[in-house]
Amino acid sequence: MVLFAALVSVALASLGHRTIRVRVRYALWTLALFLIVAIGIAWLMYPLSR
Amino acid sequence: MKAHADGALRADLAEDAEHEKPAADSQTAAPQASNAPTAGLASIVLLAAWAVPGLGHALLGRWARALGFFLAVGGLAMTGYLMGGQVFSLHARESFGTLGFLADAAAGGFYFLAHFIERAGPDIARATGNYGTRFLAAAGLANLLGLIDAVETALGRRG
Repeated sequence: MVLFAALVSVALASLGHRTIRVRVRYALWTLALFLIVAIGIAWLMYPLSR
Repeated sequence: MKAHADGALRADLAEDAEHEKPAADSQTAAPQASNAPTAGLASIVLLAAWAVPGLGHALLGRWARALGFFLAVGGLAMTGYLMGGQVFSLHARESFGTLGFLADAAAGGFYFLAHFIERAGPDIARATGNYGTRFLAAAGLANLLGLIDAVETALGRRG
């Protein structure tokens, strides 16, 4: 999941007008959001699995 | 705090205007592509960006974007193959297979590497194989993003 999120974040960060520094920051921010949302949704669905 | 973040972002974007212009020095190996929006250039960029992820941006002198898309699409595709993901073919028996083919084929050259890398075929009986299938689809979709961005840049709609 982390690898998938990291690679997709790199692709998304490659879009648009950005310096290298802003791209790296955007990629890390996107990666963090991916992981937070994925784990958050997993926990929200946890009661439904019981 | 938001005003400070916005100011920092504006400063970064203004600085980016210098960094995103095609380099005019000798470091660029390929000839400088014209910035004039032409359908012919856009067609060449479209085919190049599909065949080799990032090549469209490279032809336009956008090396950072070219490298980013190549690494992202290549990484997703190779990871999908190594995980034993299913590669859909043109002659799918169901609509889901057709959608899967369209997603996989959007990765361009990496799609045709499947026969050389995944010699044993897909391994979808295990979870890793299913994940690999998603990796391969994501590779195609990421390349589609890059392809659209490259064509828009060639047409002059983006910087």
